[in-house]
Amino acid sequence: MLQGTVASALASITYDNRENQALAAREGALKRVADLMKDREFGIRYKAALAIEALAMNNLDNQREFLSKKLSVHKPLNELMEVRQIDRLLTMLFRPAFRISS
Amino acid sequence: MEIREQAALSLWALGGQIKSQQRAAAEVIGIPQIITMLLSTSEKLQYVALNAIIALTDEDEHYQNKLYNENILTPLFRLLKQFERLSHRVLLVLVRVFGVLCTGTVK
Repeated sequence: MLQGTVASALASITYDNRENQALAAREGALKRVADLMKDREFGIRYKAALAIEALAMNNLDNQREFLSKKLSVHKPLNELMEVRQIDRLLTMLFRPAFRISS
Repeated sequence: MEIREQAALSLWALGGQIKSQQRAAAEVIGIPQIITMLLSTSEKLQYVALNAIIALTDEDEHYQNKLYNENILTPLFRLLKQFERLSHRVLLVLVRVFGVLCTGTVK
């Protein structure tokens, strides 16, 4: 949960801000954010996606780093786009067969 | 929906301003996903989907034909019919999409 909060904070301070984006990249934030995209919690992945957008906004170096074979964040981002289908399937699987009316 | 929107926006941010990168991002999204995004009610998903279509089809006959064969026109016309409900940026990109599909290029 703390990691998600930090990712959100990182997104806030780096959004379209070249200086902060570069500083974050130098401190290894890109790899850490990319690793958060592998977390099981959708909430954390969502916040990592926020950070990715902020870090990549108008920053070619960060864009290339994120798209590199080392980080490859485009793959987990694409998986995140299919969340709705997964969520709907889980809802169908665990919906009670009948409801007891009060 | 918010999660999908953010994922789409982040993917599109990775595309940046460079055509080849934008095309790579659009290819990652994929045509079926693009069509689903066009049919959604989310302004953000529509915006990203339309930009992805431009990235794929600009000066690329192969993708223009591929999208035509995947029946991309139906959701595009559907959007156009609702033009009054669209945001300005979505409407502008929609017009550009038709421009690219008709002439084959953005320029």
